[in-house]
Amino acid sequence: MRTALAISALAAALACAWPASAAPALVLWAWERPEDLSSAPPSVEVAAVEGFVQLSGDRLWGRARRFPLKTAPGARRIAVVHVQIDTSRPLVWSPALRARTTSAVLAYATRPRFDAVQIDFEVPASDRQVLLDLAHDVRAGLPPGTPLSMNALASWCETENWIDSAPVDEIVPMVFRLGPGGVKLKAKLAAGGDFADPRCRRAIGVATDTRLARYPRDRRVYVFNPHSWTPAAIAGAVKDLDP
Amino acid sequence: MRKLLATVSALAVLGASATPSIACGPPPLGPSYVDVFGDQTADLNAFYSGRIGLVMAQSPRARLYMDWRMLHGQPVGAAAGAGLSIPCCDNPDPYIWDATDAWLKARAQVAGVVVNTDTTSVVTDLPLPDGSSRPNCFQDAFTSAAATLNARIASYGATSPFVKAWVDAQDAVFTACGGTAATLPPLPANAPDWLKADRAYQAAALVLYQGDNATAAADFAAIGHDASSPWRPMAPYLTARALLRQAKLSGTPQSYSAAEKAVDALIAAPAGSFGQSDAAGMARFLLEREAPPKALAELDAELTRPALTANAASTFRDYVDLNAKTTPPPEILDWIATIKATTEGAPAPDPSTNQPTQNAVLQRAQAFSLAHAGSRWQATNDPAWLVAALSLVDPSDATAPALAAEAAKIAPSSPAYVTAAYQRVRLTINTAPEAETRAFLDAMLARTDLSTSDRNLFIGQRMQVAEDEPAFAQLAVRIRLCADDTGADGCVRSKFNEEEEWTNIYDASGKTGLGPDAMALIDRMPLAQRAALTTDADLPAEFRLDIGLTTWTRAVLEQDDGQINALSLALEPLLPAEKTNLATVVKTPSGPAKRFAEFFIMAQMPGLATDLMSYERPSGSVASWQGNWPDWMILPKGATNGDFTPPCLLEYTTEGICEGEGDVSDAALWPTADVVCLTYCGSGAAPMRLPDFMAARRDQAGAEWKSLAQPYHDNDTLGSPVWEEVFAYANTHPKDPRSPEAFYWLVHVTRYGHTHNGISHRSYDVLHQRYPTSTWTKKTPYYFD
Repeated sequence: MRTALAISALAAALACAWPASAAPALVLWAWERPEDLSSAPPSVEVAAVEGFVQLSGDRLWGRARRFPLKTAPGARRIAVVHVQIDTSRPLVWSPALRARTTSAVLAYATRPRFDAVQIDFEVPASDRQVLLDLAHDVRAGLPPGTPLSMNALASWCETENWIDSAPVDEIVPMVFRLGPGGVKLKAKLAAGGDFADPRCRRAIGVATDTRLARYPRDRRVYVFNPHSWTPAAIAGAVKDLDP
Repeated sequence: MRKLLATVSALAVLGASATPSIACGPPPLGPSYVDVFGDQTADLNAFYSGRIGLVMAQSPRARLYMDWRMLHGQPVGAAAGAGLSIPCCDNPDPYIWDATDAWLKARAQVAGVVVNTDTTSVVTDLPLPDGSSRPNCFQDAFTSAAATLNARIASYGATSPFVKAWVDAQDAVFTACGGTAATLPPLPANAPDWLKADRAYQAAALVLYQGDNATAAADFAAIGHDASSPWRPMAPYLTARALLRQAKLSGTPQSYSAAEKAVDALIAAPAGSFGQSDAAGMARFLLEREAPPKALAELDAELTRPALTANAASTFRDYVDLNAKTTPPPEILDWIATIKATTEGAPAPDPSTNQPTQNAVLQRAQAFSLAHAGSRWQATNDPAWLVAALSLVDPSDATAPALAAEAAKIAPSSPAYVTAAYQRVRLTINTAPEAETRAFLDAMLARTDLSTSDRNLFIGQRMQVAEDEPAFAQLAVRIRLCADDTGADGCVRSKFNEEEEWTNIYDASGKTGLGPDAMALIDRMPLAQRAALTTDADLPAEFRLDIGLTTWTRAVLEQDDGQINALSLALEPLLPAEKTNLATVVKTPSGPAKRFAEFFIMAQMPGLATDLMSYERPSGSVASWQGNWPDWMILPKGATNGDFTPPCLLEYTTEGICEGEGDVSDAALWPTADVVCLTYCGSGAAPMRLPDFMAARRDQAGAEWKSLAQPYHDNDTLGSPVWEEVFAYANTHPKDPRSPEAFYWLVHVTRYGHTHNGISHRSYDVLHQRYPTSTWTKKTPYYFD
């Protein structure tokens, strides 16, 4: 086991934003489809898409969740706001659009009965500053003490380091839908390795239809299911985390 | 408004979004050389104009519908094609926030109004008890309100108390959008007629948004009978809309009948009447619920008409949804399901079972679908069914030779020709004479009408019959698709999948890359053949670097000094940051010092690997090189007990994984894997053919692997650790200027890579005790065992 003799102050501060039981924990993503997660054990958290925001040119379109969601009583819920850029029009990231996007994300993120917020925004390389701007502004707009998480492409945590300036409490590198470069990462994880960026080692995102030979379990594990969760699939995810 | 967004499926008429707008999950990700979604703008436009190209089984269903039309000589056209190429129908109200913004700006002009600039405070979706929401107030409501208010301001002034009363009432109406209780404020006692007429409209809108559809319909109908109301022209549409909402909620025959009458009235209204353009969608919605067979017949007629309209995407979407339970399915949906190996009645794998079990079920489904495709082809002689059968058949299947022969009969003028050509080569490449296959593929590649994706696929096949290494090198390179992350190239795949695009695997321009099939074959070449590629000027420098470094690593682990020196010389201009160290390797005689020089480079380069899939290209300065050092192990020179194998073929496919798959040896996987089209072209296996020049030296590669040890993993003790040798040499050569840096790297390797035996602490101790003032010591404040 590695013994780091120093922990950065930033990492220590951020480590306090999630509950003390933050590692390891199972979080099931509830995506844009009818989701009944009421059979999940109370310790299993649910990260549900509550808002969808699309940026198109200099305009914005958003809507709330369209599909039913059921969770177990007392389950910790994370409001996920998915943001995407319409690539058919050049993005005009003006101060006005930035402010409207932040307002939109906050409107969907700060819903009753949700305990934390996650931004799901997979930007192309040319728009990384957009994500950083948004994370900064959402952080500033959230009630104090609200944990803020963000999803990340695995390559951001592996071969790049621009993500270090994201003012979030948690980065969730997603080890699925990796594309052609993902083989190296999966092989590295299979060999017992970890993400190059230490900020990406507190959580991980996996998918039910993308098997990994091995991945670090000493952290919060988010699980994506391309279909609506069933009791069997939920049980399988629970068992997989703690066989 | 974009043309795409003008198409609204019947299911979206009342704001019911039937499928997710967020792109995630199947269809496939692509690699960057093959695209099931249609490539970039030029290729998409050519497709819409009739250049069908290769039919790919894993294309989205709407694209396969377009393939079906073209296979039957029916055009698609750009208007329909653009909509059919992307996920359909999920954005009925794309600019609602602009509309609410305009409304807030309009009301801010009125004296006495509490100004509100927060667009997000205008909630347009109605929360539902089940955790979802539905759109309640649409863009046109806000646009209309803003326009009306501006007109009232123009007529009566922003300081008019009646205009203020108008705004107060409209605020209450819009409050109801988000489900908040609201009542209209009392009408001023001396309200003018215009305000009374507007108030009647606002009252009807309020009850509509509050869900009292029947009352709303009656109120709108009353407005329709008021000759003095300026809202009279809108009444038929709004009445129909309210009754449609009621029908959807209550589902009673009476409510459907009332809705139908209202929609008929709207259709019969004078041309250009307000909302009339929505009438067709409303009528479709009603028909689908009241008379599904009739609705299906109408949809079928629209989808098979000689010329498609811009609504084809929403029509196809409705057609698929309404046919969800139709058995047997209509022929076009039967064909689409079959080409995807999901023919009605085919077994489906249980995701809770292990992968080998799922694979066995998938094979049965493939066989089932192939049998169906074959029988349909025999019964109809329809080339579409031959295309389906060809995509499903394995080369080892008993029916393969006959199907390949049928494919050979397809005329070049047939829309099925390109598909038949690719599949025929796939089926015969390991049995037909190499020269014959070469000539056929050269003729295909000489065509000027292949899409980039199709061309890459034929290049991949041609590579398997390459004459020699130089020819192989040229054919190993593929043209990258969809490289522009701004979307300017017109690629639509990002609308289906949020995939990440990895950098550092293409040439300097980002426009070409090594095909995964090429990498699989290169990784199976003997050392000398791989080394020859490093100096092949036809390969971009970046690929020569990649192949050179992975080959150099193998040469080091095999202790082949001849190749080590030759490759070091070749790599010097390709990797200037290591020029000095590589030169040191060359000029150092064989022995421990030379090994140290080699291992020193390995310590600096975390991305080194013995295969192209695990390797990470060094980019920028040494300090910025990315990767994860393996725990290298080395066998004595001449050893024959090595356990090295290149990555299993599945690793060269997207999302491929070798562990847990059972027997993943080349012997097991070669007949079944598809590293060329990555199963996107169909379920049929695509066993590669080793070019003759490679096959002749296959045994040599196997012999070389026996002198290589895999990196240390889970107490695997074969070989001796490279990092220990680095430590030992640096420890006994304290005056070697590289020694402090070597200790630094050994600690670094432990932190970000893999080692064993507590080498980090030992290196840290030597570094700090022996070189207290070295910059390498200053950079090493911790150890990481």
